[in-house]
Amino acid sequence: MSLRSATGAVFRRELQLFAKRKSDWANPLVFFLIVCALFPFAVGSESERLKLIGIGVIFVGALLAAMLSLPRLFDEDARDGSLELMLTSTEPLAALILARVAALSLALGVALAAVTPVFALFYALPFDVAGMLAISVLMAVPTLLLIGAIAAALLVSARGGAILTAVLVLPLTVPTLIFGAGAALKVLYGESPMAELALQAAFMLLALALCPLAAAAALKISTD
Amino acid sequence: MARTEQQSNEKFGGRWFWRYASPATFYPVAGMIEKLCWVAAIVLAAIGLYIGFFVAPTEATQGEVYRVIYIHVPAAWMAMVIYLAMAFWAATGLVLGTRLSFMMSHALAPTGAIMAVVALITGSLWGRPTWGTYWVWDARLTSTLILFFLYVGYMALVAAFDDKKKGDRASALIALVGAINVPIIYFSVNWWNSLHQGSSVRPGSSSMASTMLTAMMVMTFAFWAYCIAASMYRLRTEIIERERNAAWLPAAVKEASK
Amino acid sequence: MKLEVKNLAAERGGRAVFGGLSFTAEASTLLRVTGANGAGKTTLLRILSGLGAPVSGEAQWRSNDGAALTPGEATCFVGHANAFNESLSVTENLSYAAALGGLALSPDQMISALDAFGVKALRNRSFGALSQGQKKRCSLARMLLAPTRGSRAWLLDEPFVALDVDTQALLAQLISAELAAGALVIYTSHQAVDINAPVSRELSL
Repeated sequence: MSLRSATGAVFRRELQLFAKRKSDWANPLVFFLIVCALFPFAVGSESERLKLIGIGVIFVGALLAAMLSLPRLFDEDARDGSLELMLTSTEPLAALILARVAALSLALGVALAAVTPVFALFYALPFDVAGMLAISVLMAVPTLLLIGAIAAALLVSARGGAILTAVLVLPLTVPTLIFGAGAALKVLYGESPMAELALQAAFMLLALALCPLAAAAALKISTD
Repeated sequence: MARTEQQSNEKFGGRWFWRYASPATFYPVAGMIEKLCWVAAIVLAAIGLYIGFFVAPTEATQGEVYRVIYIHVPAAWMAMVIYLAMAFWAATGLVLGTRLSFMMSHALAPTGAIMAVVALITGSLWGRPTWGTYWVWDARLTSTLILFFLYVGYMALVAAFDDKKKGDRASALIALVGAINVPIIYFSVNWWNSLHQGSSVRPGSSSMASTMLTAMMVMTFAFWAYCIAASMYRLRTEIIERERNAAWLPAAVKEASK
Repeated sequence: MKLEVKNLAAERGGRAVFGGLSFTAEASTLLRVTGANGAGKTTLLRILSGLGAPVSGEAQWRSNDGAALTPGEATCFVGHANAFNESLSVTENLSYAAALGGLALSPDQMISALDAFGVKALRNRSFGALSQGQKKRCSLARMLLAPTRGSRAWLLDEPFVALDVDTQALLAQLISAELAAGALVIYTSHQAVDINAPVSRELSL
C-alpha cells in the first residue's frame, strides 16, 4: 500500500513539474526540431537523398533530445536536497527510480513521438514509415531513459556530468538505435518490421528489469 | 551484500586468498608476474612474428596483406577478454569492497583500450588494399569501435571523481553495465551488418594453413603475456600512488628495484 | 525507539573522520552531537539516517519491543538543504515527503504541522517564492508529519541555523514535546540552545 502511494507520489510529482514548467518538455522538442532542420542544409534538399537519411536523422535526434533530459532526473533534487527523501524512503529506491523514469518516459516519449511524424514529412517519408517511426521512438525513449538513469545517478555529484553522461550512455544505445530505426527502414522497403519491434520490446523489458536496480546502486554510490 | 573492505576483512580475515587482497602482499607478487610476462611476451612475439612472416605461406586470395591478422586478431580478442576481466574485478570489488580489485580494473582499462585501437588500426590497414578504403562498417570492426567507446567511458568516469573510493565503485558499476551490454551490442551489430550487407571478406575469415594457425596461437599467447605485464606494471604504479603514505611501501619499492 | 551504535567508523572523501564509536540511546533521550568543523557530525547523522554507509561497525535502530528497524522506518532526517522543490507548492512538497516516508497524511495533519511553525497561510504558495526563513520553517514542518508523536527519531543537522529567536524557541519547545512523547532526538548545533529533556546527553566527536 505505502509502496503504491510512494511510487504514485514520485510519478505525480514528475508530471506536476512538467505541467508547471513548460520549458522542461518544450525545450527538448525545439531541440529535436532544430536538429532535424539542420541536416538538409548539410546534405542537400533533394527528396530522394532526404528520404534515405531521414529515418536515421530523426531517430538520432529523438535520442539526443531524450538524453538532454537526463540531468533533470536527479540533479535538481540533489541540489535542493529532496533527493534525500528518496534515499531515506521506507520504500525500495529502485521502485521510486522506476516511477520517476516512467513519468519522464510518458511525458517525453509521447511528446517526441507525437512530433516525429511531422518531422518525417520534412524528409519526404511516406505516412506508413512516419507512423512506424513514431512507434519506434515511443518504444525507444523508455529504454534510453532507463539506461541513462544509471549514468545520471552515477554523475549526480561528478564534474562534467552532462557530457560524460553522453559518453557513457550513447554507446549503450546502439542496439536500440539499430532496431528502432531498423523497424522504420523495413517499412520503407515494404517488408514486415515485426522482428525489429519484437527485439526492441525485448530490450525494453530487459532494461525495465535491470536498470532501476543498477540506477539505485549508482545513486547510493554517488551520494554516499 | 556489498561490504566495505574492513567488513570483508572481519569475515575472510584468516583465509589464504585474503592475504593477496592486500596491496602490500600483492605488490611484490605483481612485480614477479610482470617480469615473467615481459620475458614471455618478447620471446613469444619474436617466435610468432617469425613464423607468421617468414614461415607461413602467402594467402591465396588476399596475398601478403593477410599477415596483419597475426596482430589484428589477437588484439581484437584481447580487447574483448580484458573488458570481461575488468568487469570481473569490478564485480569482486563491489561485493568485497577490496581496493586492490578496483585498482586491478583501473589497471586493465588502458591496456584494453590500446588493444581495441590496435585492432582498429590494423583492421583499417588491412582494409585499404582489400576493400579499397580504410574503413568499412564491418560487424567486427564496428563492435570493436563501440567496445573502444566503452573503455573510454570507463576511464573518463574514473577520472571524473576526486573521491577515489566513489570513483572506484562508480566505474565498477559502469563496467558491469557495459559487460551485460557487450553481448547485446555484438548481436545487434551483427544483425545490422547482415541487413545492410557489408563486405563478406574479413581479416582472418578464410581457412588457414596449419603454420598460419601456429603463428596465430603463438601471437595470441604473446599478446596475453604483454597485456598481463602491462597491467601489472600499471597496477604497481597505481598501488604506489594510492598507498603512498603506507609504512610498507618504501621498503617494498626498494626491494623491487634491486 | 532505541539506537545501538557499535564500533562505528566513517570516512569522508577517503579520510577517516571518526572511528570506534559506540553508544546506545534510549527513548526520550536528547543527544547533542558536538565537535569541531570536519569532526564528522553530519557524516554521523547521515549514517544514522541511512544516507551514508559506515566503513565498519554498525548502527541499528530498534523499536521499543526490540525489533530491528530500517533507518527509513525509524527516523526523520532534516539536513542543511530544505528538500523542497522550488517550483511546487508547500503542500505538494509536504505530501511528497510524507508519501516517501511511508506516512499516510491527511490534509488536516498537514495544516496542523505547518501551523505549528506558523506558516499555515503559505501552504498554497510556490516554495520558490518564499523567503529563506519561511522556507526553513516549512521544511522543518516535515518533522511533524508522522501521525503519532514520538514514533520517529528526529535527526536534525544544525536545525537552529537561519532561524529567528522566536522560531528557535518554538523549535526547542517542539523538540521537548517530541521527547516527552517518547522520541529520540539527535541534533548537531554550534549554538547552545536550552531544550527541556528527560535525558540530555552530549556526544563529542
